[in-house]
Amino acid sequence: MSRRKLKGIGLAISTILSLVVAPQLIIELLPSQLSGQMAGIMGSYLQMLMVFGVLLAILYIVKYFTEPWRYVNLGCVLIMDGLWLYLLLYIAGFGDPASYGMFARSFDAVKVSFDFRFIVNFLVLIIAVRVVKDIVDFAYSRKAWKTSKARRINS
Amino acid sequence: MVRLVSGLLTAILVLLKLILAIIVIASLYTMVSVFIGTMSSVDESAFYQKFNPDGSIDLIFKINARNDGFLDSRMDVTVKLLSNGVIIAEGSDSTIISPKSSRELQAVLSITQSQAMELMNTQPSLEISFKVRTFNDLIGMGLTTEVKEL
Repeated sequence: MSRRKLKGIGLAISTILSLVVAPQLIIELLPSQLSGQMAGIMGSYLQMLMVFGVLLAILYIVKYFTEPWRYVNLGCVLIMDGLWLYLLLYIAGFGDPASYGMFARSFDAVKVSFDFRFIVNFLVLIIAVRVVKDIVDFAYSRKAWKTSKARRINS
Repeated sequence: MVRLVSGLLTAILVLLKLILAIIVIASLYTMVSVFIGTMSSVDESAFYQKFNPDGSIDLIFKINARNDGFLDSRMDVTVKLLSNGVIIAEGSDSTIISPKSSRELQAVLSITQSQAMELMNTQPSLEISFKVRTFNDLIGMGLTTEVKEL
């Protein structure tokens, strides 16, 4: 198996471990003293992370098992960037991506509010740079592939 | 050329991720340490009354906010006196606390004598809210709690 495919499998396994297995363990370890409301919020939040984990693992496999100059690879990479953006907005908004990092939660008589808009803006900037890099990498791979293909035909 | 641009973008990405990680860790640590440092100073002695010659009463909420974090942080405290959900009096204070230092915050709620008499017959409650902002006021968190039995 090529090094590229092994990298894909490794990334898929680490994604499954961090977003599927770890949340499952956290759900199991939730103390029984936690109120029903708190357990409900954390449960649905962690279950969503698990769904993202499975999707990202599949996309890692597709990405690293297809040649980097194929359009399916570019599509896969861009979908992954979109998923990462949604996942980060989901985490920063504590389950509400539309809140854009500004949210409040009430627990009995206590209301906790957060303003993470700056962090979210920074994350969006990182994802934007990543999208540009992915497109540049794809353009480079495609150009190199076309050049080698033309060379093979000529020879 | 394309290879160079890709390398440059990779370097920018690494740098941005590193900066973000430092900002997130420093900000969260600062905000949590300010909350912990401040909450430990809140007890029954934080509240006291001052009777004025004109008959009005000043309810004073005094706390000592401490910042054990890495960054400057702004602490806001607001206290509202409510009666049946209606705000009777409100007081607030705000201060900037440098790292490894502490500041005193004092929110004063002034109520007239007639308001004080009215409150005797109702069940007043207090809404206390703390807000901490750091990293040039760009990142913040707040905590609001209601004390029902006064």
